[in-house]
Amino acid sequence: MSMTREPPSERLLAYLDGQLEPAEARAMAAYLENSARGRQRVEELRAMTDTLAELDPILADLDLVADVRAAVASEQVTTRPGRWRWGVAALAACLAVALVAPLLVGLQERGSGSAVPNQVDELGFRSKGVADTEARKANRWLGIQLFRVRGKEPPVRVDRRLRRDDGLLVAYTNLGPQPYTHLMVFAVDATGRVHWLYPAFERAGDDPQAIPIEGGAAAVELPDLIRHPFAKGTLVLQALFLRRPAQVSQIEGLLRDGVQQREPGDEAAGRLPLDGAGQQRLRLEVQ
Amino acid sequence: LAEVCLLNSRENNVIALGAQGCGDTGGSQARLPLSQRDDDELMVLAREGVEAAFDQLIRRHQGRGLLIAQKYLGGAEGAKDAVQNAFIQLYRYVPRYKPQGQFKAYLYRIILNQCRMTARSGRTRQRLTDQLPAPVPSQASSEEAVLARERAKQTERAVAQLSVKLRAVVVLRYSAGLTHPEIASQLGIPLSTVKSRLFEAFKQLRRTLGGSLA
Repeated sequence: MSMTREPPSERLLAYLDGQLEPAEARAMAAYLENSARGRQRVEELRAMTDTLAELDPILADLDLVADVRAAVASEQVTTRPGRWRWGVAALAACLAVALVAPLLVGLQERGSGSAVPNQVDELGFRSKGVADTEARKANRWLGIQLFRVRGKEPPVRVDRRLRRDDGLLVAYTNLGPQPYTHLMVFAVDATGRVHWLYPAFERAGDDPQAIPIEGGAAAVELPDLIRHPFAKGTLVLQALFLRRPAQVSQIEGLLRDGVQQREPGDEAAGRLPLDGAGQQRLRLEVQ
Repeated sequence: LAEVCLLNSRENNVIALGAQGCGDTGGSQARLPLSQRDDDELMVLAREGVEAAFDQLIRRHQGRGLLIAQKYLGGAEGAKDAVQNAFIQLYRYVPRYKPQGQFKAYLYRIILNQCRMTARSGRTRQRLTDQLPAPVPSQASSEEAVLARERAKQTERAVAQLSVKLRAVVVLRYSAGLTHPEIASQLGIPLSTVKSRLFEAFKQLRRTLGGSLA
């Protein structure tokens, strides 16, 4: 193989990255030997990638040990199993999930014939006739658990009421024979504004996608302490367990188009038409 | 650093801990300082209460962590907070950590999450400039060095303008040094998507930075 014309920068980058097949890599090396412009382009690319590996001198001499130690000491965090604060909360969450498993949340899997209709929300959504045994048979151990952090207090499981300045922590359980692969969590406040918890929505122009999640895991804590300026009043928090990643824009489009489907007697916002998704809704009051 | 002995290697996937000195552990068992332990071993030691093991992990990975954060956030501001928070988060995870040879992936995931939170909260800029030491000027700042620094800043700013998903791939590849398959695993995306995002990222960087690459 030989190169008769100037290769696109993408191929040069692949060459630098060692991603070319051996024959193409040999042809590229031969081309570069004979092309000053090619070598210049490679050098520019290399300079760019080298820059990405250079630590700012202002950070180079930092030693974080003392600061991390001071921070964990002030929080009284310990590495010992069973004494860790968020860990205790998670254990409590795990137990709570186990206790309410037959009642697990507005989980509804659309597009599968075995869907269990209208189960009960873990925060008290009304049951609409799903027997415990039925839910157990569905083996659907799935849902998020929500904790609030108020000041320096340890995390507490959210029980319907939130304050506007509460921080939120999210844990999820993703058990079952076919665990989901991705998760999205958002909340719609009393003014109808959508607040994203996962994925993070940093800038107006971004369109982040669902975060990957572990399968076969219970009470997995997500690392972010999240604060949103929720409006006072009813807040509907919705978790979407997905089998392939969706973009925020896709979900916001569905919300904007008002395609949520309400069941008779359903108090909260309805389910979104997402095939194969597990959906959970929690209704809270922001004070 | 404390000299803690790690007895046997991994029989039955169990790591046995010995006290300092390890005098009665038998001749065949290794005596390694913490600096020679791998990350999983250090996490296990931290779980057992050896605080120096966690300190060792911080010192081992803080440089790379700061680099990832700096490039993700588009500058040094915010990087210290993000990485410090990541280590605090990691400390909280110590009791549940499973030693499966995935420590770096685990840590980098936390760091990226913290970077996202840092960027989202927008609360870092003022605080960090208060905390960071002033840069020490080099002995002789040649014109070439000045140009190189300016070029580096431009590249950094251009990376920070990439979308979150493109930026994550670029930073994991060139700042964290992960391979393409490792990035795919880390982000839960196909290998082909990693490659296409890298190419797309560099296309955009070329457009921003110009030069003969454009």
